[in-house]
Amino acid sequence: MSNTTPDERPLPLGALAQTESPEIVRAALGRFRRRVLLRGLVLLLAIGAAFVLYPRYFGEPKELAQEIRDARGVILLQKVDGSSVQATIARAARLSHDQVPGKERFGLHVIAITLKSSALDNQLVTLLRPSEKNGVLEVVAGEASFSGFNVWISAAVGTRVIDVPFAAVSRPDGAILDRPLTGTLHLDMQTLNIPDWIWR
Amino acid sequence: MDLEEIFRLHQKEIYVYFLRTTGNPQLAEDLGQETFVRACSGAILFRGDSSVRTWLFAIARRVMVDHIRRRGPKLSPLDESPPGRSEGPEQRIAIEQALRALPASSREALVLCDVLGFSPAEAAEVIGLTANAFRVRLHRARAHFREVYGDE
Repeated sequence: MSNTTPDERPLPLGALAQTESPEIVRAALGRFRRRVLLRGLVLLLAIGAAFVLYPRYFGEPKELAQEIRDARGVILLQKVDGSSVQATIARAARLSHDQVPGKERFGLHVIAITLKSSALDNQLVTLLRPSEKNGVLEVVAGEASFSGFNVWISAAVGTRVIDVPFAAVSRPDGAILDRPLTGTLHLDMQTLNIPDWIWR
Repeated sequence: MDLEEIFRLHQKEIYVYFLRTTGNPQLAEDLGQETFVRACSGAILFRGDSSVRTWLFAIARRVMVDHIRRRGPKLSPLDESPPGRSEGPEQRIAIEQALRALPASSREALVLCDVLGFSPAEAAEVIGLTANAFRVRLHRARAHFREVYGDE
């Protein structure tokens, strides 16, 4: 005789387990594969979106010089003569509009030198300033060395001509000389044979 | 033995677990699938501390809990349940009705131990209770069932 109480004995419910089972496993494996695929796609899209959007919204803006160097463009080494200044257009590039949303831009790297020997004691500077009128968006001048220096210019696409005025200043205080040596570089994109896809 | 074969071994009792706790064959099938989908994802983490059966039922139980959280513990009407094979339909319906009249936790304890044949220790592991706590729950569930069903 059993000394267990009725509530300790199993109930005779085993019959409830006798039922037909539908095919679950195959459907589950299919569902698992679809889910893995979907998650993979979502992950790929998220990574792609982050890759595209992060630099636009959170990335450090590139320096113009680096931007022109990294962007798709051409090395020109075209010489341009001004009245007392000569320059070489080292590179022209179509810039990404990530840095300035909504603005289609192109960039130029200009290496300028003075032709006047008297200017050797002075420092060459550019007087070019960004404005809507001249289509110039940004001007960055590099450190001057002797009679030459680098200038990086970005301009709105469609700007065909950029006139770049220069002046020489005395080195110690940066003041423009009483009789400053000045000159203007006339940069015509068409004459310089800069490809249309860069500046148009 | 690959994962699919292991799943097939337990397919029927997983389905029965959901069928007897929800009373809805469609839902039981869906929750059963979800259990195996989660088991696929979790298989790599299975360390063999418990039996595969206990592991699968622990997953099934989480699927059930998630389902109840989303939709509430509503049972489907009795006539949606498929007919059994070994008992007369009247007795079968009376048993199912008595089972449905129980609270979800009691019903689950009975399904695990008295329908599917888990030992109280195994069922406690599935549910995440101590063996003693589960025994108390099972004891009460059986008493409650007898009260409702009018057995013995």
